[in-house]
Amino acid sequence: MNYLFHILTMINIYLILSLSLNILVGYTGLLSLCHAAFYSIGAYISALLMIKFGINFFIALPIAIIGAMILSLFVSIPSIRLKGDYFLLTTIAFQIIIFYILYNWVSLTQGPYGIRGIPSPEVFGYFITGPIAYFFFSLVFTILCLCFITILLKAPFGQVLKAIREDEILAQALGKNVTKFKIQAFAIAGGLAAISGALFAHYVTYIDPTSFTFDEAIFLLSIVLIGGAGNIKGPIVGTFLLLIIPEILRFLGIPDTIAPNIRQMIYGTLLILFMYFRPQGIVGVYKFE
Amino acid sequence: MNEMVLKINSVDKYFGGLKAVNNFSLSVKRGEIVGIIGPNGSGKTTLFNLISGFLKPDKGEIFLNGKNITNLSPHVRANLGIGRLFQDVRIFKKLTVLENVLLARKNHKIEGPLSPIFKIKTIKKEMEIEMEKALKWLEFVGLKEKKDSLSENLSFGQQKLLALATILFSESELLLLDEPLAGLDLKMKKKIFELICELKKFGKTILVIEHLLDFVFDISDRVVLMNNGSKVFDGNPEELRKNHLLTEVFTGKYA
Amino acid sequence: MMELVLQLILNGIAIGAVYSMVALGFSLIYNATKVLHIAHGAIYTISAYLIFLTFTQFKLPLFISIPLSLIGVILLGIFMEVLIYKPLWRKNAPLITSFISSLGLYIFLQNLIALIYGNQIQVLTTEPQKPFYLGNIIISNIQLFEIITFIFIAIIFYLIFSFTKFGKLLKALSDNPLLTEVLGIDIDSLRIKTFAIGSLLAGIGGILSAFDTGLEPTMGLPIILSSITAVIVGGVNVFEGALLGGILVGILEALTIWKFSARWQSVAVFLILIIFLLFKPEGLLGTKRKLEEVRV
Repeated sequence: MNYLFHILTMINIYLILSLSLNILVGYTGLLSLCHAAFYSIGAYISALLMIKFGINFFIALPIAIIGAMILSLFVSIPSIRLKGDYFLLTTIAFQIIIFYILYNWVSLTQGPYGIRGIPSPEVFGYFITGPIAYFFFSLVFTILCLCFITILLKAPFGQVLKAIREDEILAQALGKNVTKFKIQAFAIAGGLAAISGALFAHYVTYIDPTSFTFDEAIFLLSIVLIGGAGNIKGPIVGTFLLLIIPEILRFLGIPDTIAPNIRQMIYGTLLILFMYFRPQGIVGVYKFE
Repeated sequence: MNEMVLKINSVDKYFGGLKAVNNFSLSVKRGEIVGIIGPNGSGKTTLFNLISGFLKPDKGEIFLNGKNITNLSPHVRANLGIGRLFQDVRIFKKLTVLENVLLARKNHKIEGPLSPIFKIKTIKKEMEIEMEKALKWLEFVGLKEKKDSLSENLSFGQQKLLALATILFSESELLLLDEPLAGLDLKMKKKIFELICELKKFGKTILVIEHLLDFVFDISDRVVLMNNGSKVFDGNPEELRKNHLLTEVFTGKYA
Repeated sequence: MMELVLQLILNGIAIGAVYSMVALGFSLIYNATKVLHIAHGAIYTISAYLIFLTFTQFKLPLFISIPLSLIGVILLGIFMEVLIYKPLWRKNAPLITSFISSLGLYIFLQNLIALIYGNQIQVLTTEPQKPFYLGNIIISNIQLFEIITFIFIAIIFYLIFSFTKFGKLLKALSDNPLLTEVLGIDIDSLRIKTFAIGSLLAGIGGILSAFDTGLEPTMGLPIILSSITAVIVGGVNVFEGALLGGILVGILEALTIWKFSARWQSVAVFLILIIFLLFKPEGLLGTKRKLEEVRV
C-alpha cells in the first residue's frame, strides 16, 4: 500500500516537471535538454536552506523557485542569438555545467556524498513524512501547478507562445517582443521545475547529483515527446506511462540489476518509434514542423 | 500630426559583396499609396525588410512619423505602426482564423504571464472588445464563417485575406504589402484589389510591391521603379507609362 | 613545474587526437545530412567493446580483431542511416526528430552494452603500456599511436578533400548545403558513404581509447559531447576545423587539470562551447555565414 502511494507521489512530482517542460517544448517550440538542472536547483536550494538555516519549507520553496528563475537567464538569454541546433547544444551545456557544479562544489553541496537528513515539511505542527502523507501533500502542489499552467496557456500569454512556436518572424512583425516572452517562458518553466525539486528533496530526505543528470533531462524530454507536446493531456499521459513502465518490469519479475537498463532501452525505442510514426506523441498536437 | 509618415534617407544594404539596395531615398505622405515595381532581384523585398526592421541598413537612416527607427527591432517598429503582408503568406498555421487575428492586438498588457492571475477582469473585458473588433474585420474580408477553422486548412487566397484582416485589426497606419495579388485567381485578385482601395478610404499609408503593372498603375498615387537596388523613377504613374524607362528596365537594357 | 605542464599538454594532445577523429567523423555526417548524430558516441563505444570481444575474449590477434571491429561499426553506422535517418529524411521530417531519434538510439545502445557486459570498467589487456621518454616527459606507446594515427588520418583526409571527386563534393556540400538539391547527385549513396567513413573514424577512436584507458558503457557520451565542442571550436563547415578543434579541446582539458583540477574538465569544455556558440559560432577556421539570412 505504501508502495502504491510512493509511486503516486513520484507521479505528482513528475507531473509538475513534464507540464512545465511542455511550456517550453510544446508551446514555445523550444526543445530543452536542461530541465533536470532546474529540478536539481530547486532540490538543492530548498534542502540547503532548511538544513543550514532551519528555514520553514514554505519560505525555502519560494526562494528555490526564484533561484531557478534567475539561473534560467543563463539559458534564455543565449536563446536570443542562438537558434535550432546551436540552442539545443546550449541547453545541454547548461545542464552538464550545473551537474558538475553540484558534484564538485563539495563545500557547498557535499558533492557526490549528497545531502542527508533533509527535514520533512511542517504544516501546522505536523511533519509530512511517509508516502501516504506526502502523496496528499504533493497532490496539492500538483493540482495548483496544473491549474496555473492551464490558465496561463489558455490566456493571451499562452497564445503568444504558440505564435512564437508557429512563426517567430510573424510574431515579431505583429509587435511581439519574442525575446521577452522566451525569457518569461524559461523562468516560469524553471521555477515550476524547482517546485518539483523541493518536493522531491524533502520526500526522499537524501539527494545527490546522480538524480539530476543529463540522462534525467533526456528522460523528462521523453515524457513530453512520447506523451505528446502542445497540450495539457500529453505530458500527463506521458508521465503516467513512463513512470508505470518500471513497475511493469518489476511485476514481470525482471531482476533489479538489469531493470534500469531494460527500462532505458524501452524509452530509447519508444523515442525512435514515435519520432517516425507519431511525432506528436500519444495525445499531443505539436509535430515540430 | 506629421505629414511625412515615412522618410528613407540614402539607405545602402550589402549582402557580402553584393549591394542589394543602393543609395535609396523615399518620402511618403500620409494617406499615399506608393507602388514599388521592378524586376526580380531589384531590391524590393529587401527594402521592405529594411523598413520593417528585419534588416539593418549599412548606411543611411529611416524615419517613421519623424522618429528615427533605423536601429529599432522589428517588434518595436510594428508597435509604432508598421504592418507587413509577407510575400509568402505568413500565418500561424496551427491556430484558428480568429486566434490569428486576435494575436495582432497592440495592447500587450494582457499578454503578460501574471495577467491571468492578477488582471483576470481586465483580460475578460479587453477580450470582449477585441472579439468584436476581430469579427468586424473578418467580416470585412469575408472570412467570418471560417473564424474557428484552423488557418492551415484555408485556401491560399483565404490565407491572404486572413493576413490582411490581421494587419487591419492591428490598426497599423503604414502598410507594407508584398505582392498581395500573387498566386490568386481572377476573382480573388479583384476582391483583394477592392479591399486595398477601401484601405485608402481609411486613411492608411500604403506601400505595395507588385508585378501586375496594370494593378499598380490603377491603385497608386505614385510609382517607384527599382533596378539593381537603385531608385530609377519616382513619380506619377502616367508619366512612367509613357516613359521608355519601363521597358528598358524590364528587358534588362537599362544600365 | 614546466615539465608538469608539458606532460599534461602532451597527454592533452594524445586525448585530443582521439577527439579529432571522432569529431571529424561527426563533422562529415553533420555536413552531409545536417543531423546531430549523437548516436555517433554509441559507435565509438561499440567499437571498443567489439575489440574487447574479439581481442580479449576470443583472443584473436590484432591484425584480425581490429579490422573485424571496424567493419562491425561501419556496418552499424550504415544500418543506422538506412533504418533510422533515411526514412525520416525521405518523409521530410524536421531535423529535430532525427536528433531525438539519435538520442533514443544512443540510450538504447548504451544500455544494451551495459546489459551484456555490465557497468564496470574493463581493460583490454593486463599488460602495462610501454613508456617512452622525452627528457623527463613520458609518452606511452598507446599515446604515441594515437598521435601517429591522427597525423595519418589528417594527411589522408587532406588528400581526399583536395584530390578526389568525393572529397571535393563533401567540401562543397559543407560550404553550401543547397547544392545537393541542385546538382542531382546520388544523395542516398553519398549519405551512406559519409556514415561509413564517419563510423570508421569513430571506431578507430574507440579502439585507441579502449587500449588507452579501458572501456565502460557510458564512455561514448562525454566523447561525443567533447567532439561536438571540437567541431564548433574548430569550425563546422570546414573539416580541418574538427581536427584542430579536437586537439585544442584535449589541450584545454589538460590545462584545466593543471590550473584547477581534473574534476572541472567538463565544465571548462562546455563553457568554451557556450562562448564559441555565442561569440564565434563559425569556429576558428570557419567562414562567417551571413546570419542575416532572413527568409522573409
